[in-house]
Amino acid sequence: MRPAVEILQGTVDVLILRALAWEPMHGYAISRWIRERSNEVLAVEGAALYQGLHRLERKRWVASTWGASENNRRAKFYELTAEGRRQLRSETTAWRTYSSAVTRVLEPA
Amino acid sequence: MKRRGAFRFPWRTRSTIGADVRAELEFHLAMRTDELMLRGMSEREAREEAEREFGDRKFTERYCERMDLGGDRAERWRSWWDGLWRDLRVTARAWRLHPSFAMVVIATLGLAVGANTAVFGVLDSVLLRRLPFPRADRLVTVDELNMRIGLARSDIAVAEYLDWVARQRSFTGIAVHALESLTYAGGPVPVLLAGRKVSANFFDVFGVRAALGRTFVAGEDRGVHRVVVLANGAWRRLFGADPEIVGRQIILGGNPYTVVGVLPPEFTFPGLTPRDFFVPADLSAAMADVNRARKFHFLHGFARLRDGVSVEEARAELTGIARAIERENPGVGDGHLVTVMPLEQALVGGVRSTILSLMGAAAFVLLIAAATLGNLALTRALLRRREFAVRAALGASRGRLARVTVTEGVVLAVFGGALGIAFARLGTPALLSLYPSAIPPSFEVHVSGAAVAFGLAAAAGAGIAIGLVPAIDSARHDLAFALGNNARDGGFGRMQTRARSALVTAQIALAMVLLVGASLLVRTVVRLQSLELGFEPEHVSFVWLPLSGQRYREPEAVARFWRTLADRLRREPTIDAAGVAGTLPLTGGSGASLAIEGRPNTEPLPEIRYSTFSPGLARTIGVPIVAGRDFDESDRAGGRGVVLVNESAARKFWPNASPIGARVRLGPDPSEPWSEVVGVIGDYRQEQLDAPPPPLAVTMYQQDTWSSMLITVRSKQPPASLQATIAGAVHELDPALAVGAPTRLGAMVAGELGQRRFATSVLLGFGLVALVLAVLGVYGVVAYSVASRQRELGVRLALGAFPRQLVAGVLAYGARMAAIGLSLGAVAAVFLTRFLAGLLYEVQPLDVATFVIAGLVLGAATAAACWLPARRAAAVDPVIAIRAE
Repeated sequence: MRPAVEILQGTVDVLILRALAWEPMHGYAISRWIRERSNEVLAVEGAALYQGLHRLERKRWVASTWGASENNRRAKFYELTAEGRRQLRSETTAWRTYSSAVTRVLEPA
Repeated sequence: MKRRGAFRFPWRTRSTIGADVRAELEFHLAMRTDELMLRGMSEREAREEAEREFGDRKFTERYCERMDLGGDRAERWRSWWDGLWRDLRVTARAWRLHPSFAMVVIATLGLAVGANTAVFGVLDSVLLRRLPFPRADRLVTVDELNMRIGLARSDIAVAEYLDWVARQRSFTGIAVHALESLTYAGGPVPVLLAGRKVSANFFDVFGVRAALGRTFVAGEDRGVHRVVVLANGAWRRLFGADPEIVGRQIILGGNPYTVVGVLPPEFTFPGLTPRDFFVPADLSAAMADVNRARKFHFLHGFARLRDGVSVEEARAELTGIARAIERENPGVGDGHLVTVMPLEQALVGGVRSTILSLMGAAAFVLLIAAATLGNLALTRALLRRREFAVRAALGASRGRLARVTVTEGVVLAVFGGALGIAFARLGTPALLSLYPSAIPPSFEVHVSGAAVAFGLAAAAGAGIAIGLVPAIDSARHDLAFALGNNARDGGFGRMQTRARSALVTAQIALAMVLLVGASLLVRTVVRLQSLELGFEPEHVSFVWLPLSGQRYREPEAVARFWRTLADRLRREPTIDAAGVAGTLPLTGGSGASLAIEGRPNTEPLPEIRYSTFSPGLARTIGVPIVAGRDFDESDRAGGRGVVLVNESAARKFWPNASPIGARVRLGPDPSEPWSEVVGVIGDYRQEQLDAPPPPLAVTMYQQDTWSSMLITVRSKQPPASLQATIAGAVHELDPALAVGAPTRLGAMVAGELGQRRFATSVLLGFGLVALVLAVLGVYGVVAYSVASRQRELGVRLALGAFPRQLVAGVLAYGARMAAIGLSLGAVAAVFLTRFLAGLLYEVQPLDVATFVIAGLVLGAATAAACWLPARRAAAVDPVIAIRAE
């Protein structure tokens, strides 16, 4: 495994939200999804991931329930709330604006 | 994957949250371990790698727990608020459909809370306030206990006072005071100011320091010291709060006085009329006249107890001193003992029991209202049983259901309480203005914050209780059964009915107590108002006028003034009759010793009340001459002394003969010539309306000149123009005199009864409210009983019962409740009416007739309440009743 790039806290949150936009997942599935989607560049470690998930739940952007995982283990599933969806949209827009600005600045002349 | 709403139920405990978090993290680690094992690691290696990858597990656990706890708490709050909002909407809808329940509850609560808040406000303002003096609990009043005329708080003589001061050890100081009125001539018109003359230590005893300048120093009460201390109110009113007032001279009573100080605004005597100024009494002058020093009583005393000395010990010590004085001054000091009383008790006095009685009555009204509300709540609970059953079936817990009804109860309580407090705030001043003498003067009664809090607490208690009743009711019964068609009747009704009957019986009992109390007071007031006054107060007014200053040094000048004034007033077309008097009924009295010529006349001489009249004054106030003649102007100053006595004096001192022609001497001076009794006047009530008229002697005003008299007129003029007329006449003779507003004698008579009439009105009001509530309660219970037994009644009619049997059954039900209630109420009343004893006059607290009448009234009202439902019972159509559900 290649060393993962350091990810800021705010970014973790928006990545989680994006993961859940597809479908409700449990925490491990989210970390797998992020790794796959980023071609192994981003790896969210467990600590940051679960801190993020519970933080998002406190803000009521995601909601959780206990269910059975694909191999019948008891796992906690998360899903986006309507507020979370709204938040995802605005964060995505903000991130796009930010990253394209940084890219523009870093471009040679 | 099933989706769930944001509703989280039930709440998790801390340990559950912790376990959840650990399980979640454990799942992640297990999954990662599995995945790593698939890549070829051993289980142990995979596990170590997974844990290393994970990061700070401990911190994460704590962090997640904290988040979850906060989230749960926030969720709980949100859900609670949502529920509350929902309950309020449900309540509002229920009220729109059935407004009568809400209206009745709010009205009942309003009445009960209003009554209690108002009375508590009075209690708080009068009984619970603290006197504004340091360590006021050590202050006492000191008065003479005059055994000879039977007065507990009688005036003190100067020599007596000085003896006490010299010999006592119980007090840190005794001070004396007497009333003094002086005309202040510095403003646009001369104004009569009410004040006191006091001993030099007066303010020290109370512990009051001057706000400006100083109070009196020792020695200023010996000899003539024309210094004055102003009350704060007078300083503002007359001198515009002038900060330079100290040291200025003002003219009082024709003499210049130097202002040495101004008192702080807190120095008022609650319970006594406010005074404008204080001057030192000249005790040396009073001592100089041997006759007057020990025999002229005009002072009252205040004192401060030494630490560790009780009121009783002080009284015992002073009584011992008084007895020593008796022995040293044989004949003169006899029967003059001492009364020492805590200051608070002296000021509040009789009104305490009145207020406490009213508080008790208000509490009763609250209880009755609570019973009514309880009944209403039970009825409503029954009606809503089905609704609650449905809710419970849909998953609402018992606590949840309780919250709905308690919310409703609290909202009702808020409205009812607000209404009640509004009643109290508006009603109390209005009521007190109808009875100005109900409360001792200068007690400011207002509905204080404490009273409002009390009212709100009562309302809140009632509201919560109302809300809990249905909840308790629904908790007790099987709600599933209630969903069936028999929701209206069934065995469950019986227990409820018993509860409601018990409540109504309690209401009747409480109402009985209130009615008995009110009736006793009503009879007292009626008796007092039909008292033989012995005089006719209608259209009679008087103004008190003191003459002071250089012009009135000589008795002849004073006599001439009064005579000219009386003549002048009689010539006024609007005045029917006029004269001057020393004292009038209810204006306080004077006493003197009486010696009769031809009798032994050893000391101690008997005492007699005495006054001085102008000719025709007796007729002016409607007192008849029953023997002999009245004074006339031929009885001149310096001529043969003439005196009138009243029938009571005639009976006491001349039991076997007519007093006409007897010769008497009034007063302590044995060198005074005898006067002849020329007439007997009818008895009239003097200082107190409810005491029999004491013996009275009246001197002729030209022969016994008083420098301050009551100008008495009988006139139909309204008070304002009457004052102008009298002032005009006075100012013709002396423009420097101040004439105050005339007082109507009729108003004084009414005022005497003021406290009783106030208490009577309030108690009568409470009694009527209680009666109405009890009647409504009976009606409600009986009507409900009939309505809920429609089917049963219909069956009985169909089976051949006579309608009047059903009616009898209903009436018996009502009568049973009434009988128990009346008996309980009567028993309670027997114990409780003794608290009214202080207010009653010639009516016994256990007056049988009153009890019987109150019982009959209440019984009749109850019967009337049962009548309508009874008729409805008889009118049930059996066919419809059996067929209907």
